[in-house]
Order: sequence, then C-alpha cells, then structure tokens
Amino acid sequence: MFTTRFRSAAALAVLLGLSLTACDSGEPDVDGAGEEELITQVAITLTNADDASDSVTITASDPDGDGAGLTFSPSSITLRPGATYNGTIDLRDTINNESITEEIEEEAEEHLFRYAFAPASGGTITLTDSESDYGSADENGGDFAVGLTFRAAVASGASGSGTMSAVLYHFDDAPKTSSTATSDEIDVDIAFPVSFAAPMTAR
Amino acid sequence: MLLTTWGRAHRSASFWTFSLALVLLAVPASAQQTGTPQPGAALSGTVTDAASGEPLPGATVRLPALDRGAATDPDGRFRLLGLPRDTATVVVSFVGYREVSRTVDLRSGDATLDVSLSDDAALLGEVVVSVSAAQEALGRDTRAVGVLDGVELDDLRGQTLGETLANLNGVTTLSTGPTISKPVVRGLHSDRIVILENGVRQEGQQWGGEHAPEIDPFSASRIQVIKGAAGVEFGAGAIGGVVRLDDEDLPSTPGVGGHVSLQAFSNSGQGAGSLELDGAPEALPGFAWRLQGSARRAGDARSPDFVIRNSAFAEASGHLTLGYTKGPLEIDGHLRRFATELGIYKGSHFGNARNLEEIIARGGPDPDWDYAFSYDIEAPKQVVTHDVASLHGHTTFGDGHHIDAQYAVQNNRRQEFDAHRPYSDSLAALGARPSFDLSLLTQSLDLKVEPNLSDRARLSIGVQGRTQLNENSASGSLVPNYRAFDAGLFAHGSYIASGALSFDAGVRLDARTQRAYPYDRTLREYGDVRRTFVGGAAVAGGLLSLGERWSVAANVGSAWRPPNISELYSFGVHHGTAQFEIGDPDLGVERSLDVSTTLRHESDWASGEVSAYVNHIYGYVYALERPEPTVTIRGTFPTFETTHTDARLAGIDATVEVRPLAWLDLGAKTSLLRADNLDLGGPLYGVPSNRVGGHVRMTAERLFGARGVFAEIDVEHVARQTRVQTGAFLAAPYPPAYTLTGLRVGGTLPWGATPLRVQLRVDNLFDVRYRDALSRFRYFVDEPGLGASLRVSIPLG
Repeated sequence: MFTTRFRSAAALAVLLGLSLTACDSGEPDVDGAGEEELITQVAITLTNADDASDSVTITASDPDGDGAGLTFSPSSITLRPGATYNGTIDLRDTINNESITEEIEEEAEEHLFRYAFAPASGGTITLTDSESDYGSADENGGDFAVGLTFRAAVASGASGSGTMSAVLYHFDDAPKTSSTATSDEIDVDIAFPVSFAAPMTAR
Repeated sequence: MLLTTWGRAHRSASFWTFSLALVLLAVPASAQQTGTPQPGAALSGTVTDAASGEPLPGATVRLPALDRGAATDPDGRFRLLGLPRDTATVVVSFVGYREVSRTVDLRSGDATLDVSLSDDAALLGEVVVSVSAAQEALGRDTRAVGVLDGVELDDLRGQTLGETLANLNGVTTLSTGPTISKPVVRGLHSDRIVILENGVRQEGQQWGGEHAPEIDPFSASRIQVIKGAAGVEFGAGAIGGVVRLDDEDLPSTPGVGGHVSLQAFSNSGQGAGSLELDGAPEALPGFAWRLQGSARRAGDARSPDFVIRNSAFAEASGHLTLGYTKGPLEIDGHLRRFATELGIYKGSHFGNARNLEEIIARGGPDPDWDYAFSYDIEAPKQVVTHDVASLHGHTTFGDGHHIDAQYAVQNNRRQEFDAHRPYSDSLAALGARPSFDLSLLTQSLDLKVEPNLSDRARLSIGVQGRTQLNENSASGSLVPNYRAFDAGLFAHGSYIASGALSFDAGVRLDARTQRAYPYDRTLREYGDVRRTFVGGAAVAGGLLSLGERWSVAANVGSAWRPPNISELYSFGVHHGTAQFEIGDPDLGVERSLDVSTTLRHESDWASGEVSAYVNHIYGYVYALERPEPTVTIRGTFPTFETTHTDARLAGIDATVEVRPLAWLDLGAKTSLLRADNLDLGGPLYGVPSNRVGGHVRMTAERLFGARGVFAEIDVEHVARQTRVQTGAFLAAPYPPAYTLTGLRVGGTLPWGATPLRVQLRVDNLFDVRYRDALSRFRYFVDEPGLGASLRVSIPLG
C-alpha cells in the first residue's frame, strides 16, 4: 500500500513539475503599457480683452499622469490689475497624445468648469460658453454653462500673488442641473500661481 | 493505531489535527479489529436498547480524550485494545438515542462496560448539550476556537462568509458597503488570515480590503475559526488566525439523499437557494458523490433613510465531489466554482479629497440623485470567479501509519469596473472594459505523514509546495504581474501526558521566492525584481482538564508572512478613499509572537470560554500618511506610504451561556481589543471597536405540532473606536457607538413525513442608523436598516 501511495505522490509531483514548466513566465508584454487615459497637461490662456497682443499662457504638467509631481510652465503668470481677460482652457493626454478638450466638447452636458481667484479679492471669473455652443442635446433640461471659455476680471486693487484655480466637475451619476452645480467626480483641480502687477515692459 | 475501519471518506488535508471531529462523524462499517493487541488495557462490552434489551449494532463507542473509537458489531459488542492504563471517559452514541457518558477505570488492566441507550426525542431539540459536544469543546485546542456547525450554521445560510463568521465572538467584519465583507479575527484580516476550503488554501487577491473571500459558505457543514497564530499547520500568513470550511463527509450507505434550503431577505429583496444531493451507488461499492449548487440574487440594500444606490449583487456557486474508498485507501476529487458580480455603492467613487470633504460634510448621497430600488448592477462593480480542482488521497499502512496527499489547482479572476473611466476613447464601452483585471493561478501540493508512535503521542510531518502566476491584463499598473514559488516543511506533534494533561508543539520553515514586473511610471517600462523571503513558525501549547467541566489551555505561537504584492508595488490613487498609495519595494517579512490562554467550561446548565491574548507583530506592515499630500492634475490627495512598525494587539474574548431552566438560555459575550503602534506610540489604526452582547433564548421541545421551537432576542453594542491614530484618516472621526437588536423564531415543522426547518429572523429590529469603524464606506453611507429574513430547509431522500 505504501508503495502505491508513494507512486501516486511521485506522479503528482511530476504533474506539478510539468505544469510549472508549461506555464509562461508571467513577464508582461514589453509594449503592453496600454496606459489609462489621463489628463496629463492643462493649459490656460488669458488674452486681454482690450489688447489682443497681451496674452499669457500657463501650463500645468504631470507627465506620468499621477503622482510624480505637478509642474507649472512658466512657474507663474502676471495679470494686470483692472484688466479683463478672455480665457480658454486646453486639456491633453500627452501619453496617448489625445485632446481631452475635444472630448469635453462632445460631452459638454456632462462637464462644468469652475474658476476662482484666491484670494477672492483678486477678481471675478465668469463662464462665457454653454452646452449649445458645442451642439449638445438639451439632455439635462437646460442649456447650462460648460466653461471651456471664460472671462476673468482682475480687480483694480489686486496686488501681490495668489492663485487662479480651475476645477472640472464631471456629471455622470447625477445630471448637471444648473450652471453652478457640483458633482462628486472632480477630474481636474489645479491652482495656477498668479501675481497681480502691471507688466514691467509696456507693450 | 486506529481500530475502526473508516467507513466514510474524508478530504480534509490536515485531518489529524481535527480527526476528533471526524471520529464523531465516522460510522464504522463494522467492528472488525485489525492489528495486534498492544500492551495496555482493553475495554469491551455491549450496547443495548434500554426499552427492548435488544443489541444495538453500529453504535459508536468513543474515548474523546484519546481520540479512539469503535463501533458495535451485529451483536452489539465492541472491544478496544491497547488503551492507556488510566481512567478514561467513554461516550456511547447511536442515532436517535440519548448519548451516554461513563468513566471507566483501566488502571488495573482490562475492563468491561455494558451500556443501554434510551430513545430520546429531546435529541432533536436544540438546547441539549450532548456530552460529546461538551467534551469536544473542553478539549478543542490549546488556542481559542470558534465553531459553527449543525443547526447554528443552518440558521445563517444565505449570507456571505464574512457575515456568517461575525456570529463568532472575536470575529468581526471589514465591510465595503452591503455587498462586500471579509472576516477580521482578533483585529487582523486579509493576508493575515488563512482560509481553507476542504483543505485547500484559498488563494485570491486577498490583500485588498474590498476583496471578499471567494467562498460560498452554503456547502460547508462545519466552519471553524482558529484564533491566533497557526503558522505551523497552515503556513505563511496565519498570523491572525485560520478559517476552515469543511463539507460533510460523503455518504457510505447506498442511496441518494440531500437537502434544499431557501432564503428570502426583505431589506435587499434577496432570494437565495441551495440544492445539495449526495449518494453512494449500490452497484459501485466504495464510490460516493455529492453535487451542490447555490445562487443568490439581491437588489439594492436600504439604509434607514435611503436606498444604497448600486448595492445589488448576483452570485452562483457549486461543487462536485467524487470519492472512492477501498480498504484503507480513500481518494476524493473536488471541483468547485464560485462566481459573483457585485455592485459597489455609487457614491463611493469620486474625484479627489475636495470631493471627499464635501461628501463627508453632506453625510449622505448626492441630493440630485433620482434613484429607486433596483436589481441592476452598474459600474462601479466587481466581477469575480474562482475555480478550484483538487485531488486528495489518504491511506493507512503498516501498523496504523497515515499518509495523506493533496494536489490543488485554483484560478482566481478579478475584474473591477470603475464608475467612470475619464476620457476613454470609447465611452460606449463604459462598464464593458475593466480598469482592473487580475488572474491568479495557484497550484499546490501537500504531503503529510503521520507515523503511529503510540496511543498518547501523535506526530505529523509534512511538506508543501506551491506556485503562483499573477497576470494583470488591464491597463492599470496597480498590481504587477508576478510569479512565485513557495515551499514549506513542518513537524507538529501532540502528547497526552495523562488523561487530564496534553501538550502540542511544532515547528515549520517556509520560503517564498517571487519575481515581479512592477511598472515604473517615470521610466515608463516594466522592472524585473526578484526577492526571496524566508520565515519560520513555531507553536507550543498545553491543555489541562480540571475535572469533567473545566479546562484551561495556554499557547505560544509564532507565525510570519511575506509582504504582499500591493504592499510592495502599489502606486496610485485608490478609488473610494481618495488616497494616494505608495508601496515599499524593500519591505521585509512580518513576524508574530502570539501568547494566549483559554479557560473553558461545559456543564449541563452552563458553558463558557474566556480567552486572553497578546499578539506582538514585528515589522507589521501598514500605510502611514505622509505629511505632504500628493498634488496632481486631478487635485490633492492625502498620501499613504507603506511602512512597518512593531505592533501589539492585546485583547479578551469571553462568552458565557447559562441554562437556568430547561427552556431558557441566557448568554453574554464581549470582545475587547487594544492595538498599539509601538514605534510611533499610540494606537494602531484600523482595528475593530470593543463590543458586548447578549441573548435570551426560549425553547420548547414541542409546540403546536412543531418541534425544537425557539425564540431568541440578540443585542449587540459596539463602542465607538476612540483610539485614533493622529492624522491617520482625514478629518472624519470614527462613527459613534451603536446598538443592534435582532429577533429570531424558528422550529421544525412536520410536512407529511418531511421535517421542515423554518426560521424567521429580523435584523436591526429598531432600524438603527449606524456606521461601523471598520466599514470602508463609513464616511458616506449608513449601514442597512431593518430587514427580515425567512429560511426554510427541506431534507430530501
């Protein structure tokens, strides 16, 4: 009996050994990166409403998508107190080289940006576009704001430095019900460094 | 040397540890005696029916302390040879008769024992504490052990493994909404608990707090939780404890039997059912089979104030077991599949820390949701399957030596679908493409030998080998691919010094070598990292019987575990917690030293178990918040880095039950735990709160034609967890204390000749609004409110 059992055990061991060698090594495909689509770059461009040549752009980059750190280029932008700027925002997935801005336009009824200066004394920012600008069907029962374009009115008394924050709310579980709605799904939340001063060199 | 012929197959890999239980179940085919008499005493006698005086063939005669037994022959006679010259307790039992316990004196040599058994309908009632159960409880283990079996387990059918085990004192759950719960034993869970299903160690992605064990407890006839380090018998990982699920033994008498059980739950609209059939074909002597299938389908659970959106689930599982017995050789094969699809509360997937703060401040779901109860399962969801095939053989040879071998292959597939994959190029595919798709293939081979040393000593020596292949086929790089090999070698023995005192001791050595391919997001390429972990385990314990009603046990155990793949290599934002998690690829192993003592009492009118423990864990791996959060384009995330500390978990689990009147049963229990982070000082994060509970149970053997009728009220109070690790988890405090009340009534109703077992249960009777410290959703959703459930169990054949 013992030898019978021993043989069975040996057979099992051989079977196990075979199955081990038969399996692949577990090594991933070298090109299998197949990255998740992420927003890796967000750029804001502000153009003086009274002077189209007075235009500044600041870009926030997180080239690996998550975590390695957010960098700004340039490190800060300077805004002119009392001026009003027309703003646009552009979002990109640089890993897969795709424009996220276009996707937001296509799903305008699911997205809403919100911008603010900090400190709030820096000025006010209002949205200047709405869902109908992007041909969105009126799915939510209203033609609500989107925020791919906006107007930033810098207070005449603004001085020193602060931030201009851009937050993108994504409406998926519950519809966008107003132009000031929020959701539990924030896709972008960046505080761009700004300073308030007249440019050193006059244009 | 075993004198009985084992008539039923068993398939537990390490069956000797628990062979006492198997002796209880074994119905010997005959009383034939094998082997040669040994020096020592012999016990012989007859078993008869008290009313008729007729002999009772097939009655079981056992000496529980010695783990020896025999069955009576066709003339009702039995004989046991080679017993120690000592006093011994003998338990005589036969189906349908009242069990009898006698003390025999074998000090001066052979003795005779004639027993007459009386028919007793009370055996079918529930409050009867049979002598064998008492004996078993007193002599169970040198560690604290919780057992669910028989009627008690039947009354919990239709729930997840985590929920089922939470009925044991010292076991709580770590939950992720109503759909996911996993057991926490004495404050430890996930990779620090080993779960065995029919002797096969369950291998899935158990490191995840929101990954429930892929096991359906429907088919188990017995669930045991060994509390405390059990690394010698069960290998790496058994730091906090072991959960063992075992099916009933296959039938040995020809014929087909089985049972159907059905459950309905009001809170989530859940329906559940299980069908089990087994048999032994008359034409094929030695063969036996069992086929079991079960299914559960639930809609959204309801908290007292709202429907918990997307908490529906669907689950199906089944198994097939084939057994063959010839002489001392027993072989069985087991195939099992478990499949589930479960929704995760919609409000648990959100953007960033700003969202989380808003959700916490709001305290409930998004008020703009227009949501009604549904059975639909949407993203976020998990789809998990687990398949197991195992082959197990056992035989005895020579002078009662045992050998046991088991091969098992299992494949775990886990797919997780996020609520919303931002800017996928094909949003139409939302919910169709998982963001997380892992498959883990595990093969294992276990060999064990138990030489027959003497009646007083048992020894088991074993080797185990295992290989694992983990593959991540989705885009995320949360968990890398890896391949691992494990090997273990152990020896574990026990010795009965006298009828009252026994010892056990063992040692084990394990090694794991792992080759992983973590993705480097900066270099944008896969690494290739080989690491080898070596660990040892040891156990020493003693159990002293103090008369027939008390026993005291002490145990010192050490166990270890290698760091898991997520602790080593995770990197990224964890959905549902808005945490940035960073692994530590240089982590070392975790080792524990667990000291415990257990006092047990069993008598006709009372029973109890008090267990105190101190589990010191060296190199305890946990996530610690970094002072600086991670800033990303998606916002700011609190950042947790995997690190290690020395930790100490000390606690007391106590249960007491008294039966002052035949129809009244009063119980009280408490579970206290204090966990400290010894390196940082102060509390250790993420352990269950202290709790205290009690029950009042009234029974009637017969009432309105029903038998074994009972009504029970349970109350459990869970204290607030006040020991908070500074800065550990955002600003949200642990939820307040809560008290839950449950009500149960049930009994066995005759339905023609078929006894129907029916139970009606109401959980959270007062619809209490509560959240638990160990719920991963405690920030944003209440636990389910009032719910009633109805269970019916129908025997077949």
